Amino acid sequence: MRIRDSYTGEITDYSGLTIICSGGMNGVFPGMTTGTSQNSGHVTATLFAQGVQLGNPEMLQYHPTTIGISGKRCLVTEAARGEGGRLYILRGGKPWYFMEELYPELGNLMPRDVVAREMFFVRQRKDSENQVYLDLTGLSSETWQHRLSDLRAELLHYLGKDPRNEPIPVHEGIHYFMGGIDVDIQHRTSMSGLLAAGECCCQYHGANRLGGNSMLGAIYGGKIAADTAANDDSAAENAPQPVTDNEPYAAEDDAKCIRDISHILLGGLGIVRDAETLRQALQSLHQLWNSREYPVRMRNRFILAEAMLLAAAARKESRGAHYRSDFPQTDPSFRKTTVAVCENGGVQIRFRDLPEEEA
Amino acid sequence: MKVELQILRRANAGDTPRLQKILYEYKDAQTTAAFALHDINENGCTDIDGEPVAKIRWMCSCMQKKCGACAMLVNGIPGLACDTILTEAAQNGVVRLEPLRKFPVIADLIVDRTVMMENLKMMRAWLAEATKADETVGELTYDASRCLQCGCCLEICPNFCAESSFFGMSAAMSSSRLLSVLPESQKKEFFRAYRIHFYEGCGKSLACRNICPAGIDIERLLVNSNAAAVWKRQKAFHVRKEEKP
Repeated sequence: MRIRDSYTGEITDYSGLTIICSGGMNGVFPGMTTGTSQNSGHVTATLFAQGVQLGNPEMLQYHPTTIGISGKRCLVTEAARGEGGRLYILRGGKPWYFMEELYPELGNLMPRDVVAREMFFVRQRKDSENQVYLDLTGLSSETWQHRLSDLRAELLHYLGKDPRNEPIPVHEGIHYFMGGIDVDIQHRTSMSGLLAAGECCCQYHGANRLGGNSMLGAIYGGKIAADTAANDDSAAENAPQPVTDNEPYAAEDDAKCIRDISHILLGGLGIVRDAETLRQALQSLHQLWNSREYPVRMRNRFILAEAMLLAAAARKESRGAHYRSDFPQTDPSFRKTTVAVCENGGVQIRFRDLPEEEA
Repeated sequence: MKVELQILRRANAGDTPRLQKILYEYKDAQTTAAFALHDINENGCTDIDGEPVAKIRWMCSCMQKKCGACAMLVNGIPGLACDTILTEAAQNGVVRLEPLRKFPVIADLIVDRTVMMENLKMMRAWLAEATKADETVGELTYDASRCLQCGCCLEICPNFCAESSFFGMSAAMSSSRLLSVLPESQKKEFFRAYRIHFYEGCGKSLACRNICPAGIDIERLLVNSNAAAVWKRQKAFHVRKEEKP
């Protein structure tokens, strides 16, 4: 495979198998995720357009507690609620600790998808202000000193707010991509000679990743992928080589267009989805696509965006992070992996049964 | 709000550097230099001479002091662009951004820090076998693990240069993590590497202490690493429960 170092511009040829480790598709939603800006989503888009399958591309994890800092969403760790942080919204001018009222058993510690969705719902209410706060003022100085010192430093530095003295305004934000490049249990993609590991691939997390569990994909999955590659004695030289992007650095993606696509995607792939908003999003995407000519790099991004929307439209049920207000129940017949493939220039969506040991 | 950003531009390593001045306007008082660089690159602008600003090359990843990619000189002092709040950093209304000087420049604000990883490889700074961490070493090891390998400590260090056999504080931070859990089989070899590549070269100026963007308690880790690797004290890194690290 031919790889271009995006900093030096140096091009190097490697032989043998390739493991893709390109992270979550943060760059599909620039500035709107908690992840790194270096994970542009470009690798996934490029591979998908060349026939590499995606799994569960509709599964985006919204984390309940993120804050807007200069240029991105910044995660406020779940540990803040674990240590006693409480979510509230002002209803009729008074704090309403909605999670504690709605879920007395686990309260603020319900799974991420549930908390994020409830935040979304309470923000829509007519009697509430459109802002949820995380109240950390009750935490002990011992907790701040020994357990959450980094969090406090971050909030002071980027928000200018001391969480010991005032509540922190928080918002649901895209945090993790459960879906991505489809891989088997050995981390092989649908293209021979090509493997993927880490957040870029779809493995382990299904519709809803649990807190702390990205280590599973990063460390365990990385080891499995490495073992597979190291023990592969098939003739990798004969494997089809995906075309990498060898344009000089100046050929940057069109930032404005990427933003336009991301806004369309957010319209369809919000915390709460339905057939109509997904249809509108697909329509807007096609309009943007038809409005002018695009280079190949951008074309790939359009195809990826279309796959995400079509997958969300095809999954007519609610499961984990994918919540459809028109299909609010989980439907056992959808207990399957969504597979997206780009064939003959068009995106196809189908559902694949889970392997027997998982089902 | 307004700030004059002065950026040392260079199209490539061989290019003659020139300072490009941009009058940058922003709304939010917490705006960072990292945000400004993204903003300028995405939306384009002209410099104070009316010339269009070509895309500024810089390294960026997390935007929240967690990765160390955007280390550069800010008004002459090494720091992270994402840690640089423009309003606070401006001196006489100017924020000057230049690449680190201890490393070869690739273009604009990008330098090649490969040597840092190569040095760790040369020290064989890894666990060769599975080992178990004693809970009493946890707090110090955690502090060492906050090292971003950004290179700011090397930039400010009077003893470090990219070609020397002294690998600097960033290598010592990785060593600290390792030393706290080092298996018996690696001790002899790694103690030697630590002595040659760190202990004997460090002039103890501690210039790195106040520059670390992660705010690591460098001095304390240094004392414990030296105790373990040089003075062979078995109890180094073990913090007793009642003792605050």
